[in-house]
Amino acid sequence: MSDLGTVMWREWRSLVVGGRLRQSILSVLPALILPVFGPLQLGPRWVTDPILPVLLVVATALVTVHTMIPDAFAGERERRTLATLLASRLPDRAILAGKMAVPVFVDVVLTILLLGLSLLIVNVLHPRPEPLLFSPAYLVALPALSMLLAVFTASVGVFISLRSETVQGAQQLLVAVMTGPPIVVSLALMAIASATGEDVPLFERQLAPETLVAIGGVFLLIDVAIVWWVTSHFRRSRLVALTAD
Amino acid sequence: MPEPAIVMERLTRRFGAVTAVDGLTLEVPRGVIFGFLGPNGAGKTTTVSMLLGLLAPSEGRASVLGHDTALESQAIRARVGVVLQHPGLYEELTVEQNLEFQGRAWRIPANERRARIRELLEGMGTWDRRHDVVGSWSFGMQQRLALARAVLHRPQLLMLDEPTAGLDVIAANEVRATLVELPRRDATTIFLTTHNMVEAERLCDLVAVIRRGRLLALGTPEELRRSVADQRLIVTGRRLGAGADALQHDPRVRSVELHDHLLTLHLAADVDLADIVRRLVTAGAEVEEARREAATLEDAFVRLVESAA
Repeated sequence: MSDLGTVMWREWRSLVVGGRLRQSILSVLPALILPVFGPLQLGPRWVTDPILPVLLVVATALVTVHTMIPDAFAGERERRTLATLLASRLPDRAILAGKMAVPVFVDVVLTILLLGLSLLIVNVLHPRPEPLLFSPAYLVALPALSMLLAVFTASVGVFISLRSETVQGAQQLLVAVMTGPPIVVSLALMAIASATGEDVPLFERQLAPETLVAIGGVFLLIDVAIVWWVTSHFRRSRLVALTAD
Repeated sequence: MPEPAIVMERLTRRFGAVTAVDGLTLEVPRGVIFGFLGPNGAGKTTTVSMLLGLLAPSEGRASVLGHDTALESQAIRARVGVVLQHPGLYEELTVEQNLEFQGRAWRIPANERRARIRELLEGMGTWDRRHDVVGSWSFGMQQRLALARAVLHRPQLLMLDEPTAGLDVIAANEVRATLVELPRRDATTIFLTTHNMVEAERLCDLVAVIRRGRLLALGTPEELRRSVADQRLIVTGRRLGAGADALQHDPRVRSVELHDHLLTLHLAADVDLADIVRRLVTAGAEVEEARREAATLEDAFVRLVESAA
């Protein structure tokens, strides 16, 4: 635990002092279009039909993690600090977990702040006796989804970064891998809806809490599997071969 | 007899068809500065990586401070300090934060950590600059800081991979001065890889010469110098070409270099220099000065590497 804390301490310092946290927050700014204009456009539907908040969670996870994880691995190799880190007494797992934990933490905090901002806006614009809030199930599900997605993206990012020569290359590949399949699925759903003349249910109504739990469970299983796989494949010897001069 | 700091037994590492380290067998005693010499691509860095347990040997074995590199690499890294060719410092962090990270990584208690950081920075004369961002320091200063970082946890063994490569003369001398003090002060063994023979001659108690991963020689710098049994005769004067021609095929002369009014003859150690000078004069050379120079470690190194080619 102490080793994990040490790696996180260093990652956090480098993130804040090195300006990469600012860079990540700036890169999330375009996503403000969702928590600001979403409530403006949808009004109370922002909290009752929360597909756009889900999109906000997805976008924030992707944008935040895709800049930080490649920088933490391929970036260390580019800056020639990785070899010295690997020669330290810090265990492999502490290095891996510490480097993954910071982006996941930043993503979850940013997501909660952005969701809070959206609730503030919708409540200011549409004042009610009782404040407009997401249903209890979504209040739990959205941050949980944020964390699960961030862990998933971080794991895929580690896998890509360990094989990439540059930070930029890793970032580009990670974005392509993470956005390609959802775009294809969305287009397919829209095509089905257009062909059948029926709405896609996912876009039009809140999912039942049981469905949310089921989706969360599937995500959790996927996360456990990919984290296990990345952990078992994260070996100093593989990184040394990439850092050798 | 204390256990050696490093033991290598037929240590071998292959990358596909390339054998980077080929059956190295040697021991490094404790408390010495051990020079691991070789030209670029000789397998020095690969050997260091194996000793740190970062690369597994293809064959053979090694132990460092009594720990097997294949089985107890974590224990080895906990007791070793490392400086590589590049300082490997976090340039966005301050000097103090870099050392702080090292101290935390080695689980040094906070009070002790702060005192040790102060001691090291005061030793470098840079305590007042502890809040400087490392990126604002020169490469030489960064390498000295990397050395301070490597000894922060008082390691029993320091592994230095070309630590003065790329440094200017003054910075390199400062790093070397620090290195000379360490074994005396902290009883640290130093394993130094370098292709700088002047550095090895000045610093090392023992040296090993490798080429293409194979051990060519092992001994003190003096023993290596003597092993090549070489000396040089430096002659200045006029019409030296005639003398050079006369000695070109003399079996006592290993090589002849002539540059205008300067003639350098490489000779075996037991050659009578007066006789060589006499032959030069007889051949028509007008000798103004003849000076004998003993072989340097660099001469020995070049001879060893060339003879193994």
